[in-house]
Amino acid sequence: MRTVNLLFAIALACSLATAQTKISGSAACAGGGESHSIEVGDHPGHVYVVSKLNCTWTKPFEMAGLKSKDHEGATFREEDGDRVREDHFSGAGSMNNGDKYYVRALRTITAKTEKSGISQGTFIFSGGTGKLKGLKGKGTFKCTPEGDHGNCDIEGEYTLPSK
Amino acid sequence: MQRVSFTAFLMFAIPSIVLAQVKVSGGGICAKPDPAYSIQASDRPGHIFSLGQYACTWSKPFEIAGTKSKEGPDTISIEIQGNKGNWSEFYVDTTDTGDKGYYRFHGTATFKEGALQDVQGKWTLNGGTGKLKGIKGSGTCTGKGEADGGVSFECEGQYGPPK
Repeated sequence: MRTVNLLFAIALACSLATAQTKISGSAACAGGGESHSIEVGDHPGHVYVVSKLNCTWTKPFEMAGLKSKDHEGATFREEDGDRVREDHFSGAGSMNNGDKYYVRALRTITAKTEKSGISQGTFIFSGGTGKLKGLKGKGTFKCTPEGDHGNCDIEGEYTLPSK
Repeated sequence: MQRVSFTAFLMFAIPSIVLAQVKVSGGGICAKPDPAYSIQASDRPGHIFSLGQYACTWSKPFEIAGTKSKEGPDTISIEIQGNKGNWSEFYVDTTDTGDKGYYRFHGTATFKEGALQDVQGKWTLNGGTGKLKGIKGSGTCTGKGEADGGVSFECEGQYGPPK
């Protein structure tokens, strides 16, 4: 009986330590006005691009009782004609009380990844401030172009250190 | 017996001839990048996405398929976090014969007060034009930041004919 209790305690501790809270949300994202590109030089249209990205959460996700507000950061892309060969983002977001979360995102590249089409990929949370200190998590995103911006839906999960 | 020996010769000798790898080594210098751009990732101080283009010349060229590497634009992206950076580049070499070689390099770099100290990583040659069409190669490079903002580099590795 004591062994069973011990196993139960271990299982409970493990489930608490690894409890993941699901999140989902939607954001409108646009270039932040600053963007630079350089032709690589092997053939026209093959460029390295660095740019600012700003997003506003139109359907906020919730973490630790807080609602996401906006986020901004920098992206790097390698474009080759209509194809995207690499695309990653790193930045920070703000919650409604001012606490921040840190996020990195990587676009999934396929043989036909097009720069003007739908982009999708994965993201990870890598810390935060205030109530989000020690934040960890991951998820997926999918962005659909609309006019001069993209509508992005995210789904994922997160954990915060137990107090 | 004679047939067995000849067959064995064909089995072992031909692949080794076809896939023979030739060692190369060389080095040179790249002038201060121009243009050069940087964008803050907005999450943590010192987290920067940089983009730039060096003009590189070889003082000790690679000798590949009857050509000598000479000069060309080297387009780089670096994600800098504090004093460390992830370095990615595409280099287009114009050889002494006028043929072009397409190189990629991925590595890590260290910085001190914003100035490049050193960089190291792996290069690949992914074909080109003329005599370099279809040629594949790979190896390692080390680089050292110069006081004028340029970088000196030394590379070694091997190349082989198209597979």
